[in-house]
Amino acid sequence: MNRMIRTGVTVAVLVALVAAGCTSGATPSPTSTAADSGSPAASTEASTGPSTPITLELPTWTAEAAGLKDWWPELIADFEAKHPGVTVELENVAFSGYVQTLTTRFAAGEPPDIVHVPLPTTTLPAWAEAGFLKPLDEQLASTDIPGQWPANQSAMTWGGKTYGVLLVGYGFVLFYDQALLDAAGVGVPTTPDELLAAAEATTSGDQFGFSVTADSSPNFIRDLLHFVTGFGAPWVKDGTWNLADPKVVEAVDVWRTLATKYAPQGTDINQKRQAYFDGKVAMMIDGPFLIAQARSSAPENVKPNLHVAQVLFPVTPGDASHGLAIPAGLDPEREALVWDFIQLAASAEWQAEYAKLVTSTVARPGADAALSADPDTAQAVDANKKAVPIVPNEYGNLRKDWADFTKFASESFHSMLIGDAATATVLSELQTRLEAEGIQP
Amino acid sequence: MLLRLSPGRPLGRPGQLLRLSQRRRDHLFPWLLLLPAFAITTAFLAVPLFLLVNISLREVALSTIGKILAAPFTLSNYGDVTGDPATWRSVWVSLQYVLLGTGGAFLLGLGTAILLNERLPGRRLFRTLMLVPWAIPGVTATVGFLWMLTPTFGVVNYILRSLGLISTDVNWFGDPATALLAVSVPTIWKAYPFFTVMLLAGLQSISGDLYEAAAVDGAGRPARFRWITWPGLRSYAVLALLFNAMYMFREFDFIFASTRGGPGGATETIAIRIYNEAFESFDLGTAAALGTVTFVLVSILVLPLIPRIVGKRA
Repeated sequence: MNRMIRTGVTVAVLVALVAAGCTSGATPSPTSTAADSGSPAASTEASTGPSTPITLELPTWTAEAAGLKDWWPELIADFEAKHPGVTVELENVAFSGYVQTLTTRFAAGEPPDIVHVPLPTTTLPAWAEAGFLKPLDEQLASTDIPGQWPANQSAMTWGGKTYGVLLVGYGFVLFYDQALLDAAGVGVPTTPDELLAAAEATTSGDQFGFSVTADSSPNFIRDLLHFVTGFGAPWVKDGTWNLADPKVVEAVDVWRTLATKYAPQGTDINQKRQAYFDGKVAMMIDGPFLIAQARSSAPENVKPNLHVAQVLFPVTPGDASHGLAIPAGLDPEREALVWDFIQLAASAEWQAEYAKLVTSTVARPGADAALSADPDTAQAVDANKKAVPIVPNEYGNLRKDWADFTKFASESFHSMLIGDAATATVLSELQTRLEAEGIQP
Repeated sequence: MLLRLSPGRPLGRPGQLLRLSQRRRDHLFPWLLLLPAFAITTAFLAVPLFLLVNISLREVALSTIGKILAAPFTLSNYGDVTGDPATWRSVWVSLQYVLLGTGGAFLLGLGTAILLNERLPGRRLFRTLMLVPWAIPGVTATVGFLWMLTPTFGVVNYILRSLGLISTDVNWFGDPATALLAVSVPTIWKAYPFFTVMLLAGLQSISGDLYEAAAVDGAGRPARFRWITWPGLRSYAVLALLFNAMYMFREFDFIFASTRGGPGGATETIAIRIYNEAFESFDLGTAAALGTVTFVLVSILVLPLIPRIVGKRA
């Protein structure tokens, strides 16, 4: 029996060892997701004829999000009514593992039928470069999208080709708590100097003037880029980094002052927003999609005080939120159906419905006009019209090497939150490091 | 090779080759029971391991598995990985994390096991409650600790402030000096029940007569622990430490959900680095090479210990 025990333990240890070694290549969740769910694409393709039922798989991180949990089913019901025998299967995947899950499925040759692309500015390049997505320029040529869609649609392009249709883009807005501003005797700031003064006036005890994302996620960098883009600071010049430019330093200095003196420390994006909703923070800059959340999540006594204004910068920073794409290699029948689905989602009717249900601006110009009736959401509509992407599409290398850029940038910017080094020095060192690592914009 | 003829039986009669002695059958039967599990385990381990090593030897970034396996062979991924100081920093961070997490969980588990081994009122209830952290998903636990440890509004800093132990808020997850400790806290909290269960089982295997005899001889609690409890527990403890350390070496949830390896790489363990290479930088070759290096490192650390542990247990 001694040998038995020895052998059993050895086998168990080997199991643990291999698990340790294999964490990398295929982490458990994506592998199991891909394997367990099977691929409707693969399973139905073989038996699909024109008259056989077809199921299109649509994984998304938004299936249970406020507003979207209503929009998706309504859109799908309309699509299914227009395409008898076709079913769209909506599957919710947590945002934290969404890109990982889809990347694994692409690599395994088991992509979903409809690809929902999050933050396409930085997510799409890797998928497009790997040949996971189908170029849609031919299909788009017969639509009004190339002519009418906003500049943010360029986030769906890579290498001169268009790989999807942007559904939602937005300009960032200033969220403020009117009661806290009134109590401090300050108005809604309209310039960076006024913002600093208002933040100082409203900071007292466990109440803060401003709130930033100060964790180690990509949101940390995006938050800071609101300021750089907003100041119109030329952080890239002639295709190379220009981080030591006085305008960039000025923008980052304002962010740093707010983050270190007038903001709660170490807040991740959820804590940043929650502090504002709870009436503990007077102001923050964020996406307009939070207007609905503020109205539903804030305590009753705080809710009436929460409002929205234009960001107080010369330039309105914006971002491409999400879009739809078609995986490469789909059979023609499915591909045609998915294209129909994308067109329906981008139609005036369903874009307007999105704006109404999610209380958010959308990509199709004019479709969010109904939001103009409300003073707060009207600010979001205005912001969307003049938004400038925080990561411009022409910064191709930056889009592709976004993870590497954020890794080094995050280290530098964190050092500004806990250290004393001059902002100009930190930015110069960051530029030197990026150049040494071969990371170019 | 296991099917030997029973001694003393003549050869040549039909069916005799399969007729085994009782002793042989007793030896063979457990192996037959183990065979299905062994076959399945081997299949599920061999294929991923083969893929891992194969991809690590390919000159490829992100692509479909078919194209990856058709890419040319190269050793450059291993050169990149072993020549990058960040890899060895990750290994060092991993070792610190394993030591902190395993050590903390062991001490907490040992204390809890000793406590629950006493005849306390409500002992059964406490034994059940003690398992709760084990049942909670790592990410959920981490989110809870994120809120408790958030610098300005978190309850931990509030208590420390109230007790006068700190004058300014500690940025637990945001300061490179404290981030590793911060991610170790939820890890310890979730891992300690494993030690409690293992060590409690060990404690219950120690005869009460030994304690009574020691008490008669005038041995105090420290002496009883040193000369009776610990010798009885040692083999359980070493085995539990080994398994937990291996588990923690590849731990991912707690760190990714809180710091994603930051700030400034302070919590970038080898597992987080592998993930970032694979799913942030989309460099599958490098990620696979890192995975293989991890496998080899853990093997080097652990395999020599197995015969000693098993020998002692046996």
